[in-house]
Amino acid sequence: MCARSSGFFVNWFLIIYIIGKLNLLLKHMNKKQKITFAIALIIIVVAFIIWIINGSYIFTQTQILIEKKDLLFGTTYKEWQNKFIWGLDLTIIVSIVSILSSLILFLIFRDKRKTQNEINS
Amino acid sequence: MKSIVRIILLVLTFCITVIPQGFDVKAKGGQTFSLKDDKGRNQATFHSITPFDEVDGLTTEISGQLKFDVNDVKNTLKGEISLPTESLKTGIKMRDKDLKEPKWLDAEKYPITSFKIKKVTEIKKIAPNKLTVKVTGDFYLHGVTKEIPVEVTVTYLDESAATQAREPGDLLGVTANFSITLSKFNVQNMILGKRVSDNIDIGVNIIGTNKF
Repeated sequence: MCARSSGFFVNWFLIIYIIGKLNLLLKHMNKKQKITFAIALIIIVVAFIIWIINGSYIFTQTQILIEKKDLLFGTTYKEWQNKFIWGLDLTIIVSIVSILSSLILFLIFRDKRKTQNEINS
Repeated sequence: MKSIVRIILLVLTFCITVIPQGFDVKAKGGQTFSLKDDKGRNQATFHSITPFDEVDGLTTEISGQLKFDVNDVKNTLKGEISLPTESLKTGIKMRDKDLKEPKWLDAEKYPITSFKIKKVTEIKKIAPNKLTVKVTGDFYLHGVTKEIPVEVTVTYLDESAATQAREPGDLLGVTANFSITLSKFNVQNMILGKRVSDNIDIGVNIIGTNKF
């Protein structure tokens, strides 16, 4: 019980800490960086929503088993049907690609004036 | 009085176990059914469910034979069903490859998975051409043979226009569902019990013909 409640507090502490850091980061971002951040966040959220809607499978599947009725014997049998099921593996890949590309864009969209000031000082 | 009741019970038990039990169909005598189907209709499935993952697998490459006397299935049923371990598919190519590797079913070393009927323990007639048969048999997987009980539903269809559309000859439909424990067949893996269940549900749905 004690371990569970301490875990609960650690989780909430982490969430508040991350939100605080993000807030601080947002304050120092320029408009282009904010747009990049928003797009990356939307892509990750959409990827996870698609994953949940598709049944929260761990692996992406290209075939699923469907049931068919055998009218002669009155039984059911299964057959493979081509169907794309978005899995957690693909969700993670999309998220990582999204984070990496947004980080690159973050560097590209850096506030150049600040860099010039730093050079002058 | 008690001894009379005992005798009656003994006679009844003897009758139940010895009196032939089988199908009430046109066909008579001993029959041999081939379970090989090139159209891919015959199948064996497996299902594993854990809190983390659910795996379904299927093979249609089943072969085997069933022999019995139509009127006395209980005392004459013999047969074996087998499938190539290599033929099992789960819908994900990478997982299919893993499944056949030494850490799982080791398809190269143990290419065949089979079930051989040893004896019929119970038989029940559902319809004149349909029986539920409780059998015990040897299940061979991953180089290990274990005796397991299986309840099988068997449907006998005399040759007709409807059956000829499927296959020539009388047709026999066999369905069965049973479970096995992978660890009892020396399938040991780190993720056993986590992503793959130790208890695997197996389903069999096959059709055989006596003209082959």
